[in-house]
Amino acid sequence: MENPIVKPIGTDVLELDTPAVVLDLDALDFNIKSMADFFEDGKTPKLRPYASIHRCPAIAHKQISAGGTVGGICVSTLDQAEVFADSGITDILLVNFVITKRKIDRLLALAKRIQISVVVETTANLNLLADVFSMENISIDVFLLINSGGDLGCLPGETSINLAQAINAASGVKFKGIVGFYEGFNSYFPIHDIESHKNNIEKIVETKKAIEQKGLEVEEFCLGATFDYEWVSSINGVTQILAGGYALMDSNLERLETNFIPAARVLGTVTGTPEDGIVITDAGQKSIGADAGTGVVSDWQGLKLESLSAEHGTVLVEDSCTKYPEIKDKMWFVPWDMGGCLNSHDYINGAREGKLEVVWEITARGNYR
Amino acid sequence: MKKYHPVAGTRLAELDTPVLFLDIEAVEKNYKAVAETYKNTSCKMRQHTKNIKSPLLALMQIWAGGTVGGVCTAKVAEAEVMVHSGVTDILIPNQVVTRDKIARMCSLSRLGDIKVCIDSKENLKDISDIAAEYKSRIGVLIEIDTQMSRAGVRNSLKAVQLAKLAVELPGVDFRGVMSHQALRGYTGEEDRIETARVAIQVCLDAKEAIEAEGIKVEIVSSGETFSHDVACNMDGVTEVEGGTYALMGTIYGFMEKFAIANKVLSTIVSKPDSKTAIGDVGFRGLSWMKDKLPSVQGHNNIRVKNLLEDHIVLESDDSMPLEIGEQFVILPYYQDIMVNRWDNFIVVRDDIVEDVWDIPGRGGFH
Repeated sequence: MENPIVKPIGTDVLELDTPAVVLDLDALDFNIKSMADFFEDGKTPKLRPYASIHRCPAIAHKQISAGGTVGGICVSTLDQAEVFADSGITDILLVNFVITKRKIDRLLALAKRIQISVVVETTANLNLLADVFSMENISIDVFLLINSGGDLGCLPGETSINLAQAINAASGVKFKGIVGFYEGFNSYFPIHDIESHKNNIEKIVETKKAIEQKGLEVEEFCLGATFDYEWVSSINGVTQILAGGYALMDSNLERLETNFIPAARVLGTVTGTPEDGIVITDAGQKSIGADAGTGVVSDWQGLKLESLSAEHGTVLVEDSCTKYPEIKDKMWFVPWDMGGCLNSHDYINGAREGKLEVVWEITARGNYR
Repeated sequence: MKKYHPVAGTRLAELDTPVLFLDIEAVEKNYKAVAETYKNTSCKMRQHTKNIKSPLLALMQIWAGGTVGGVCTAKVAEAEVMVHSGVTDILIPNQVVTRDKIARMCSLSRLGDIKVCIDSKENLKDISDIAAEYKSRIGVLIEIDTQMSRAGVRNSLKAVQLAKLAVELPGVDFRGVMSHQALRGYTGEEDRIETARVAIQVCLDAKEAIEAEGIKVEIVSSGETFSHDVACNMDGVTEVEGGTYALMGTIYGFMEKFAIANKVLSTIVSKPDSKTAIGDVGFRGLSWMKDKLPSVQGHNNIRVKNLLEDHIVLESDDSMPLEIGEQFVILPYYQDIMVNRWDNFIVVRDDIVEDVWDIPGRGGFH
């Protein structure tokens, strides 16, 4: 596991063992409060933070206690749900399919401990859940996942209406509502294509109405991510917003015009300046993450993060650079995809005004099951 | 981190998925192939542990033979993992520049032979100062850039200057030269061999230039998996830094002497239409290199269409043969980043779990 030299609390963050994830706690608090304020005026919808980006219980609890939420979170895998449940969170929506007997047994065990709900997109999945839960005389809340344009989710229209009715009719499960879009779709969703996104969401809204016309109650209607939460919140009937990226941000989300501040960044060190215009750093794919994109250099004008290899970053010095980087200099990077970055780290260094204040464990790192 | 530790004897089909597993017979085959390749050559393998992150897997190659008896590690943290498990001949083919990390190398040098690569005068002086202060000795090699435009000196003249300085300075021992290379797309044996030869020759030229100044060059560390059999036939190369060969990815599928050993077992969780199926692991667990997608073992007619955070989208030309609940095996394109995202290997022989091994070098990027 990640094994950095752990520096004393109060250490200047520039002294941390690099590469290190540093979280500006003032920025985190600001982002969490901004989002909480938006949802805190007694109106519907409420926020259900997507916690699979940070995978860190300490941050999830801050999100919930700030207000404006449903009092719970959503996550993308069952073992993440188990980790967050162990940390004391009692209401979790698992935005994933639980299929195998082994996993349904785990879901059942979790359902005895906390309020856990799950999504389905096929009748086969529904039947597997219903078989086990009805035998146990426990009911689990099931959401219909409707396709919002990507690869997951039941197609809007008749297929979804039929599945909603099947969920409603099945024993051992309770038809709780609909999940459309959530932050977990974000790292690869083309945010610039807002119009086609809105069209897709509109189809989900229409399907929801059609399901209600069949006499079914859609108690919860969940949509939204950091890039569209304001717009989605204005849609009639939406009750929960599944945004998560707002808390820490990343360079993908920074392209949006929001009032959120980049809170988490990776601190690297210049390990060489082997050629005019080329700077090599110690932060590469393994510490910044590069699945969906590489990120940017921050706080240093005229530097361009050109590429990441496994262990190195290659930074180009442009003409506009005012201070030429030297070996041992520290450099800040904002990852493209914060979820990918944090899934490689075991610790987040929380700092305020440049001083280390707390080291949080990323407890649900590497949890894919 | 929640570790999954199935008991020995569990059948593969009984595993909770997704799970990273090692086909241990493939590891044994790969290690034997390396032992055979270097059996009668003076050049030996110095396995790169960035690809395995496991001292046990490093020791297994050393036990199998064909090696210098040591490894290279990408970072100081990875070197610590290896030394603490008894692999004490270390080359860090990378630059270590901060005082803290240089001090850690000095500490490791009490337990083993620690060597690091440099490409600048300033870094060399820092290592010398700190090693002298700690009364320890650090071996230094000059990193030569041969084609990657990453780290490394750009010409032999600079290498000679650094070698001369390394010989003079206290606390450091000049040991040799090192270079990395990359094969950018396989177009055939001729191109592979030529790419390797041209790049490695740049490193050998630097060695000759240094020797012309009367300085002994003990180590020429060059060559990777793709060039492992070329490097050992070039006069003067003393060791090869192969890494990928141990666990393999489809990137080097053309090298039939090595088999893919690291695989991810996944389960189909949905079939949105008759040609498409969704598996339960995505790019969080598999990693992703732009258009380079993983493959499905044993199903040539199934393509990986897309990777999502926690799902893999499979597509078939005809009707999708995999059913909901059915397991399948994913072969990585490139395995280094993937292994770095898991905390243990489930070791499997003949589809039966044999053991579970930690990956203590995971996250060792410090």
